Amino acid sequence: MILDELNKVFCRVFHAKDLVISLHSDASSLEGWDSLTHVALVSETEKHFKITFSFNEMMQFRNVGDLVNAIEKHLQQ
Amino acid sequence: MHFLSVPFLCFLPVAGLLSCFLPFKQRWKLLLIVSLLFIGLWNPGAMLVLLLSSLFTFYTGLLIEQNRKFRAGVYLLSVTIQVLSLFLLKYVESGSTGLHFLFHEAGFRLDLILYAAGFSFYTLQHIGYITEIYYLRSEPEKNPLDFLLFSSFFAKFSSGPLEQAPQLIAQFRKPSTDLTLIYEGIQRVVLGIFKKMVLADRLSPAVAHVFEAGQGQGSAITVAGACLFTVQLYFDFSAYSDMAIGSAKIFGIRLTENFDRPFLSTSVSEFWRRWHISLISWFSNYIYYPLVFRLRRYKGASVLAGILVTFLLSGLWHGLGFTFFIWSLLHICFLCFESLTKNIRLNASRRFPTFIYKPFSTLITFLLICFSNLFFRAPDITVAKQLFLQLQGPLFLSKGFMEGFLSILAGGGYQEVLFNFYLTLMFTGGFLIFEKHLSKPLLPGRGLFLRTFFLVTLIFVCGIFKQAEYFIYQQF
Repeated sequence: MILDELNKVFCRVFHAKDLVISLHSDASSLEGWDSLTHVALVSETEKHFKITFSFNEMMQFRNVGDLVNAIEKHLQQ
Repeated sequence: MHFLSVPFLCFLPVAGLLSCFLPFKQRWKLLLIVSLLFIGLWNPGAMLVLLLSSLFTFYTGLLIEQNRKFRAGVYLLSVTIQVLSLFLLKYVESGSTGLHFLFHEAGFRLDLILYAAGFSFYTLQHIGYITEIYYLRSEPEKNPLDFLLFSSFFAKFSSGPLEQAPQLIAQFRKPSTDLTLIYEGIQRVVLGIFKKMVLADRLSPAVAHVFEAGQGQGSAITVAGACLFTVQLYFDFSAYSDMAIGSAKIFGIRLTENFDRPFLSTSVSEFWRRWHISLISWFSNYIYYPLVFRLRRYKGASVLAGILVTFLLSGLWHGLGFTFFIWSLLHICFLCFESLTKNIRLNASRRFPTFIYKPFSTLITFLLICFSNLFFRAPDITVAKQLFLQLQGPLFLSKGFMEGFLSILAGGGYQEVLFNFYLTLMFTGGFLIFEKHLSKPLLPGRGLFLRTFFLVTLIFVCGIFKQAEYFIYQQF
């Protein structure tokens, strides 16, 4: 499952072992998700899934669901 | 035409009433005529510059879309021309250059035409517009009149809020039919006039006294001056934004909110998410994020580089003076420090009770902003240095609190000026405490009538009518 793999990335970036994310998790529900973390998340996700996002994609990530959809799209290509 | 000039305050209700009688689909024509009149009657030279700039941007947008081979070149050339023209404006505006002398001697006040015309605000919007087209995030507008209205819309023309063309043009074509928007608009305009005339302008003499009085003031007065200026700047600029947003709502148009009670911020980064939101979004979308995205492999360093470049450019946008450079350097330091200590601060916020941690962080943030504004407000670097040195003096004054502090801030020891100063502090404090309630739009009824009556009475009884049309941010 992409979400489970992505959860590992979030745990690493947020330095929180017990963090559990859902498709609806966003900057308002996850403490510390700011511009710094956003870029780190994108970079770590790219490395973990061996994909490369475009700038427009990064700017459209509003929650975990958007990120999962983008990962799915890249993995299918 | 200024927002607080008599012609504008007569023109707004007349134009608003006229628009009510027009079919919704035709309103954009009225808005275009009204906007061009707003600029043209005030400064015909400014209108010519606006027309040329808008046509240039409009056709550049079309060219970028149609010409696949040279689109990068067209985009870069267009951005370069717009940035250079902005730089030229700031260079001429700084007044100490040969160019300024040259233009002045030729009897051609280019600086007046451009900066009075909100040139730097609509140029940023034009750069944003062609960047969106270049990166395929939006399509170019096909109708030059739509684009001209986007550039010239009177409510946001001279000092923003900065808007995106597709969203605003869609509203021009289909304005809201909701009547409550008109009530909200009128309330916002009244609130804006109140903030400007009763709060910002009443604080102005005390601020001017601290920043222009010269040497020999104690540190307590300098700290008070910096704090009062920060509050004055907030009321002045948010008053302008209220009037802009309110005027637009009267015509069924929603503009971007520019402020979200910034003095409640618990960090400088949060402050920048609540202060001049539309400008910060512009800098984030077109400078910070693209840069950080390109450098994302360097992780934390990419963010630090993004902060550095964004705030240096923001300082340059405010002016070429050394004071703005120091102001931007201070914010770079604050934000870099916050980025590097993010985890420590997160842990501290969890460890300490909220009722201790939050007020403490809010106070520290406010003081940091006030400190940086010492350089923002100082007329030149000599005064800024002098004020900075004064900060290091003794906090408590030997002459006593009344004689050595309050009466100096009030501009003299007379009972009348002291009373006026106390009144100003009372209004300011009271408004900041009840800001959320006072800013909340009400539906027609007793509450709305009482609040409007209260605000209008205070405007006429306690408002400062002298030079009320001058807004601090119009100089940028």
